[in-house]
Amino acid sequence: MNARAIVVTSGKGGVGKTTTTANVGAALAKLGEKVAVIDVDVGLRNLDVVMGLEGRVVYDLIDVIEGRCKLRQALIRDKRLEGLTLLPASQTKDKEALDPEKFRQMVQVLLSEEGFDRVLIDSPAGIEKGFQTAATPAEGALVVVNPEVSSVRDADRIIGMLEAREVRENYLVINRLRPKMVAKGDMLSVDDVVEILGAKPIGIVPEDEGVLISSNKGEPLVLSNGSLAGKAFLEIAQRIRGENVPLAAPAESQGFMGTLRRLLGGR
Amino acid sequence: MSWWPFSGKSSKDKLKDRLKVVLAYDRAHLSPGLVDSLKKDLLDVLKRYFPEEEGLEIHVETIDDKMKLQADVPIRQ
Repeated sequence: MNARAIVVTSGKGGVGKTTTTANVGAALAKLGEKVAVIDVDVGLRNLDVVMGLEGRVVYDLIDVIEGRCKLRQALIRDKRLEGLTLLPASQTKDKEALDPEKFRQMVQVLLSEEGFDRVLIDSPAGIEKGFQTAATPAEGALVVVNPEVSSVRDADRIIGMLEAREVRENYLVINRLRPKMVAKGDMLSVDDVVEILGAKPIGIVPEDEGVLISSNKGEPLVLSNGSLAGKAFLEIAQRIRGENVPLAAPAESQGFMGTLRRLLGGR
Repeated sequence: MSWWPFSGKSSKDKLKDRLKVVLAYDRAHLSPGLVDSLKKDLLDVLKRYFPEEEGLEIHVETIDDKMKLQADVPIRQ
């Protein structure tokens, strides 16, 4: 992706925006980038706890925007991962407090003066002002979508709104894919989602218990090796950086019945 | 299609069909109910002019993200 300011969005809530922001941010840092992840869900701060940095929040995004502190004072450097920095949302203010133009300027300062290679913006759910503000500085987007009816519909709406805002470099992160259900014909496949939405995928993240466990502990998945979802997030970061990593749906262990189904030519 | 010949479509194929229709309406900023009553009105008018004809039909087709309202009006020679 050429975009250096990337909004992570979805329309629908609970599909994995914050998890994606935390893990792709951590993965980009692991690959050597200097990354700022910004929580724009003002009033419902969560990126800090998912990343395990909640104990270090002093100032927040709204403090910076309203001039109560310097930008650097609000940035929290992740000590586990060189290059990863969090700018937390305010927990007490509401979304009206964030001025889109000031936010855009602040992101510019991070990229041009503070030496960040990339800024990931964790958007709030919905299509209203919170999302609009989060998308204001963005040059590209990761649209997180689950292979189910309401998430796909909302993703379509969000992609339309991003295009209307001239955010053009938009990619799908297909999250919570369950290969067994796909094999049985009970869940949309990656190809189905791509066909319906007409957008390009940049990553496929399988449903993985490790995601909940890592957020319980406040440790990004990509810090610990081994989990399927962690690997998927790392690959997303590689593709963002332009590395040629083939996109493959997670292995489906179909067993005897799955093979039989295929032989019967249904799918 | 489902793998088993007698069980009809798989749930994901049903979802895919539904999503294609609903997204076409969404993208066209149309409500399905409105199109439905338009279809009924058009049919009523057609029946007034062609009372003898059978097989009058109006349906919505979606091709990619374009929507088309199509009327089939067989006229006897």
